[in-house]
Amino acid sequence: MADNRLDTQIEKLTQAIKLTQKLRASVTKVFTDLSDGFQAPKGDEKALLNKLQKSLTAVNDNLGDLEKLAPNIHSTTNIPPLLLNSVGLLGLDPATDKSGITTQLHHTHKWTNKVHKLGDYTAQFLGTNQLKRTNQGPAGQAKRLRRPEPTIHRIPENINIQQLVASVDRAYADMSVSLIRPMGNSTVLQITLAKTLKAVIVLRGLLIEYVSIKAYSEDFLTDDGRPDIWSKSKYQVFNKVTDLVTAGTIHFYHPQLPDASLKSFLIWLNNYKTLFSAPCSKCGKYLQGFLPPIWRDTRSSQPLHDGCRQ
Amino acid sequence: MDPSMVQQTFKAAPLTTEFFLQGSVMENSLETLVNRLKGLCDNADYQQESFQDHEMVFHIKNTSVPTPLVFRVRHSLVQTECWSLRYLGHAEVGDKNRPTLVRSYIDCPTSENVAQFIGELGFRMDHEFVVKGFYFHKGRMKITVSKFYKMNQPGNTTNDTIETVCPSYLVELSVVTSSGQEAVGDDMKNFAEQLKPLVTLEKTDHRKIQLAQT
Amino acid sequence: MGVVCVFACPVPEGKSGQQVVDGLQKQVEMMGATKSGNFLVDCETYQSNPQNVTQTPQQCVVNILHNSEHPASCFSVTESGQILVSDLLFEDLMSKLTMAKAGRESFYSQRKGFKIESRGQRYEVGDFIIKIGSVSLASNFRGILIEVEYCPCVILNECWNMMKELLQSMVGNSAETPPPVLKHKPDTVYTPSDTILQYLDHFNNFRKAVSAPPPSR
Repeated sequence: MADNRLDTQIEKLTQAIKLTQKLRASVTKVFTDLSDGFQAPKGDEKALLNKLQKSLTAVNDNLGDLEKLAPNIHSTTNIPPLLLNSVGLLGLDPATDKSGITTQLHHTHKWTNKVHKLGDYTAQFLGTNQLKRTNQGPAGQAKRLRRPEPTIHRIPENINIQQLVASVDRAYADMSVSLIRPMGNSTVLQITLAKTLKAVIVLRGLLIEYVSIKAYSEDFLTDDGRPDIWSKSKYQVFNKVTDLVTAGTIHFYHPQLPDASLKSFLIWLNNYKTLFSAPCSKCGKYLQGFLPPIWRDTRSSQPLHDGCRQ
Repeated sequence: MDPSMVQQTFKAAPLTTEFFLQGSVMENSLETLVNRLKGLCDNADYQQESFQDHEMVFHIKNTSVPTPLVFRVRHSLVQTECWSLRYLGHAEVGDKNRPTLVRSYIDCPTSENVAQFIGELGFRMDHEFVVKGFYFHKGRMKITVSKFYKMNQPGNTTNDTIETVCPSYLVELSVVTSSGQEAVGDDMKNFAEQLKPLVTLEKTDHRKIQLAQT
Repeated sequence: MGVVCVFACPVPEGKSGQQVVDGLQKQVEMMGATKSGNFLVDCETYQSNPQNVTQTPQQCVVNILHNSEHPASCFSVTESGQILVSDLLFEDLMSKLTMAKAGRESFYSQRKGFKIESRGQRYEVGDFIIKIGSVSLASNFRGILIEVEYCPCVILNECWNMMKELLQSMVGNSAETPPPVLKHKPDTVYTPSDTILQYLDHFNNFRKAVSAPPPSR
């Protein structure tokens, strides 16, 4: 029974493909005729018009056939593609569809969203029930209640990310921050810190999703000049710094104040301009295992070797 | 690659011989020629490549023989970080069977301080000019269609201070290779055939031009 | 390409150059460095024949250097420190200047017995490259040069203290201050030309040491 249904499905699909080809052929004919000119005796405009009409009718008929068939064919993907932004588009490729990566991605996506949401709620509740003896004034309470539902990956309307970036860019002369939107909605920050390092930060809303740090002499391009933010730095020190800074993004994460979270992260990142020139604040030396002090304390901003942190 | 290998390959086959043919077209037939070249050459699908170069010709003189040794500094006005130092030998006409002119040709890309550098070696600038034109290539053949401008203010290459030398364009077909590869001459001859009658590329005897001028 | 510092390593009396080089190599290997091939920096010197070059009354000297770290490049330095970075074809251009032709004498000629080079083992450790080279002038041993490169950084002043820590463990107090050639540009971006100028400075010192009479003790 199931086999039968599959067979008719395939038959319909083949038919649809054939009809599409036919439609293409007739449309091409119209355009080639129009561009190359008709082979008809001079002055016989009527014959020309007749011919054109004929081919146009053929196009119309073919289109009609295809449209008739279309409702009978079901989508091959289970998830409606538009619900999931660009992830859903993955499912359109039948080869990857078989591997089930789309559904897995979909689940992961939902799961992370849920984690973020629950985390945000937790932070909200913990924030209201602070373990402090003095009660905060009712004004503070009321203010907190008015906060919108926390969703860090959706930029709140009252925050302009462009202004935020521009204010950080202005505040630090040796740190240039520029904002690019490569795929329309997603946001990428490009940072050049003095002549020490270059960084790329990928944001979802105001949530830092990915950080990559490279040397001042490197760039975020492939060999043939296309943008490439995923490749690693050639140098050990910057790969370590990337790891540590990624850990830092979690420290600065704050569900209630996403803008402050991003801003304080950028201010902290600014400490890395002394990556090569500052000695470790604990052991006083510059090198440890051929690496400079690659950690900046999140509170005091003091430079520390990876091994001197604890 | 092993560094010493790189150096060896560079030294083993220095590309220092240029086989070339020259011709010229008037300004009004330029478009026809450029379209023909676009059709014939490899870079047809891309936008045609144009260039604007500033060339400074430097002489170093010797007490024993008055004819100077000439080095040319080329500087691209489009990609301003590109500088090169060139040496062009005398064009040899050779016998009738040889299809092209031959000269020794060294084009060495350098850093931007090349003019000061060869100045310290004892070279003095003799004259300078601006060349603008188009560049095509087919296989290893290079075709340039270029117009020469003289500079009214020394060192100033802006458009309002330069002035055309003559209204026609110089067309040059050339291959730079290692010496002794005479076979490329036939390929070039065939290619030149295909450009007729738009432009006639031939072995122009430079000495005759110089004689005619004096 | 990072910041490079080149220092001469003194050869104590009673020890041969090879012994010192071996000791240094052992020391570097103990630090955990891995061998990554050989390296070579060479230098040839040309001088003008002033009677032939009418424009310059005094004699001009040009040093042409190669560095195996940049195998397709050729570095030419005049006495005033003007440095030209170019393709290897520059040597062919130089040969036009040294060639005597058609009754014309050459403009420049090569100084005989002046070819000097530093050749040796290249090591990598972390983001550092360490090169231990023995210097030979006209194939006679003259001394030892140690080159340390820190690749991720491009400003000398920023990473000098780090490099000092590493260098002092190898050459001792001679690495107290940055190389004198680099004094004028501590805060600008380091270029391969700066490495060449350091080598040339050392090479000139070695050559001078040969021509000067040996110090009396």
